[in-house]
Amino acid sequence: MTQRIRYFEYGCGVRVVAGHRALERVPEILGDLSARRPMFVTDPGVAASGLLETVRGAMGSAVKIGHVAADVPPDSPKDTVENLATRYREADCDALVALGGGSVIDTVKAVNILVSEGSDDLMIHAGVGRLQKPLKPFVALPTTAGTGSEVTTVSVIKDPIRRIKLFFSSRYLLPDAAVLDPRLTLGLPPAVTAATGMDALTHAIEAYTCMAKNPLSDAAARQAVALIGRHLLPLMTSPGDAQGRLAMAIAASLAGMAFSNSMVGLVHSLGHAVGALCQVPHGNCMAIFLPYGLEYNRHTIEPLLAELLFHFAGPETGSATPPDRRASLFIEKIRQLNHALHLASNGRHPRCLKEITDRDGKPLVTKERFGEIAAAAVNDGSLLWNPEDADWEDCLAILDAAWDGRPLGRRTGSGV
Amino acid sequence: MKAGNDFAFTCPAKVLCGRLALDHLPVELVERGAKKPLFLFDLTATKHSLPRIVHKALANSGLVMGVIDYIPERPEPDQLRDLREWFLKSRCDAVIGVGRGWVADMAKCLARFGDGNEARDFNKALPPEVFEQTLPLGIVPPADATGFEASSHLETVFPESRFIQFMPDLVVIDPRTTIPRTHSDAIDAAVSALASTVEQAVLPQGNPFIGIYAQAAIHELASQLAVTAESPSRIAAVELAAGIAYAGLSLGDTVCGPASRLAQRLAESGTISAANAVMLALPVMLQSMPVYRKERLARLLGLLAPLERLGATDAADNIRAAIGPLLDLFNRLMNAAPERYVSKLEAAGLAKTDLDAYAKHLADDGTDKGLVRRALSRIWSGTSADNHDREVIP
Repeated sequence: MTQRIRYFEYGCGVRVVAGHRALERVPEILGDLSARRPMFVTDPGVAASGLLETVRGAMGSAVKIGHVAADVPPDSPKDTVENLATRYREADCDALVALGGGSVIDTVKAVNILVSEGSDDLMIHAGVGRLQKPLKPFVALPTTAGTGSEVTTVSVIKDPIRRIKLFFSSRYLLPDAAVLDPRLTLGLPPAVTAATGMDALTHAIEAYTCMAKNPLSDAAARQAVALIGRHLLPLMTSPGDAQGRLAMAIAASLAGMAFSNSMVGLVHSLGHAVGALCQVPHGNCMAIFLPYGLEYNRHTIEPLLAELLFHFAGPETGSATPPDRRASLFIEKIRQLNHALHLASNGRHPRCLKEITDRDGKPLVTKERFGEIAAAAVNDGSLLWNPEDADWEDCLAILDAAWDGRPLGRRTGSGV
Repeated sequence: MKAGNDFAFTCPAKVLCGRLALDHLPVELVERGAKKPLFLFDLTATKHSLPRIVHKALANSGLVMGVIDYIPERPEPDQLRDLREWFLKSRCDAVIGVGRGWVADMAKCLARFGDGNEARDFNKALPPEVFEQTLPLGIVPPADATGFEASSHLETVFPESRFIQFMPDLVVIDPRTTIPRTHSDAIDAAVSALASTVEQAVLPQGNPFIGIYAQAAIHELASQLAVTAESPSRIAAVELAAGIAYAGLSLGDTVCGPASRLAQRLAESGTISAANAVMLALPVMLQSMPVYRKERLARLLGLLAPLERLGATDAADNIRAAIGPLLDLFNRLMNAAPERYVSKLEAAGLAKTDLDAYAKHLADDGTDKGLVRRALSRIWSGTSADNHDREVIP
């Protein structure tokens, strides 16, 4: 049996409704799900931006909202989920609508577990495949174009007391519908547009190059890479371009479908470690580590990177580049994109670890923590699917190079 | 991809593909609440011992397996009624169709009409709003499937109508089950699926999510067809079955583009097979028809061509470069089996005077009759393969 037909699964049952007036279809979508009193869940930032009013305006009077919760914090903790479930029950709601980014959507997935299972203890549902039946109707309205959480089967919730992250995975966690409307992302600040866009790009590229890739996830990844290559940077100078915003929303969902039907790799391992230990936003980690992950894996995935150049930069660039230069040019293009995003966001999009700072300008990541970060990275599950093995020293070398943005300079077949 | 159009996309089908895919089916069925799935097998599947293979895969799963292993190619209405009555009495709670055409349609009808829904005559299947409750539905297609099996269409009842409720929940592609009736049947099925997917991909409707399946189908079928024609193998059969299933999943509301419709008409004449007709019609129609959007053509057919050939900045050159590999592929297939395929309609014995009638059929669907007539003339005389010039591409 050839490698090409090794076993794989691919599926995504989410109804995706996309377009410039997609929000107007929310009442119809809720109606199809027999939802009469949905609870809307969002975060303070989205609420302050006026997006809730935008959604209400688009829905008209056709939807009777049972309750609005606008207090989901970033990296939502278990208490928040339990609190939201209580409010859902008290308001006698019968469906959930998530209006927000990955954190809000993940939170609502977890709330849906509790209200559907009639449970108060989130912990007992943690793990893979623990849910046995469909949950309450759930519609996702993503307000960022990056995480792809609206089409994935997972949710991650923080348990601050035990100091762990609870992981949930089940096909029942998939939203019934995802509504992609450019009005939801038009107001994103440039730095967030950049970070979330790079998150989506990393999903697509790692899905395309990891060991669990398959023909269908490949096709989704290629589409996503092409859309991001064409639309991300122009959005930095034309943030009001609804066409570009819609394309990026679609790209993020495609990338979400790609990686949730394959896997990710080293870039995510490093990103998870830095995110957890140094509280660095996930998108920034992805942007910084993506070229390093590709450089590290390059000699194993060179033909794949060469193909991606055609999709990312266009066939003209691809065909004008000698075959043996394509993979390295693709990696270079990623670095150039990061640099251009850095300039277009007035320096808010970091290109290397030392550029990630808190409000006082103090670095969030310090060299002293590299050992700890590398140890967390090698223990991260994403590494299992990376095309190359990577050990503690390899991760340390990548962190060292990523500190000030130096290329890794890895040579074929040898260590770092 | 043009992101400017509003669209909705749902694909409930989960694809299980590759070695041991069948062994993963029980888990999926149990997860969907099934305890007693009914398996329908067509005669080809039974001949190849697939009931025994499926039974073995389900062993130790705790599932009780219902089996009907004699579904004929075209069942009589009485047989359909009997089947439904038996199904209701059997209290099966999931349906898996193993085979092509009718088997898949019958599985779809039983799963969607069988449980709690009013009795229906399959030949008068009603629109989906009547469905109150549906059962888990799986399809296990062979390598000579049509693609419809994995789609939301009922091929034999109303192929032009698409109801999302008929989309299977599971599509299983396993080397043990993708055995075609004959090797030639598999090649012909793959050619037809490739042609219809290319047409779907370049027609104005569609969206980037459906495009996933179209891209995967084109990639899989184009890369495997020529190899398979020259050296058939069980591995190749899996690849073709997978490509055909992806083609089915990419089917939108319009099942057939102009080239596939023309090929069907030509095949009805009895002088040429549908696969042969579409091999002649597709390249010419792609070159000629304004209905195909040149941007999509250049990009999606890029999956057929070495990518470096698509480097020219002139879109017309890209189209020429993209259609070239399609012509090469079809020529290679025709050369591999000269006893089965002709390279021009004239050789199939079709009278030139009949071309007008075929042009009229397509013109009735809104395609410019003059363009079709000229395209047909080229197919008839076999000038298409050497002439990449476009008549009209806006």
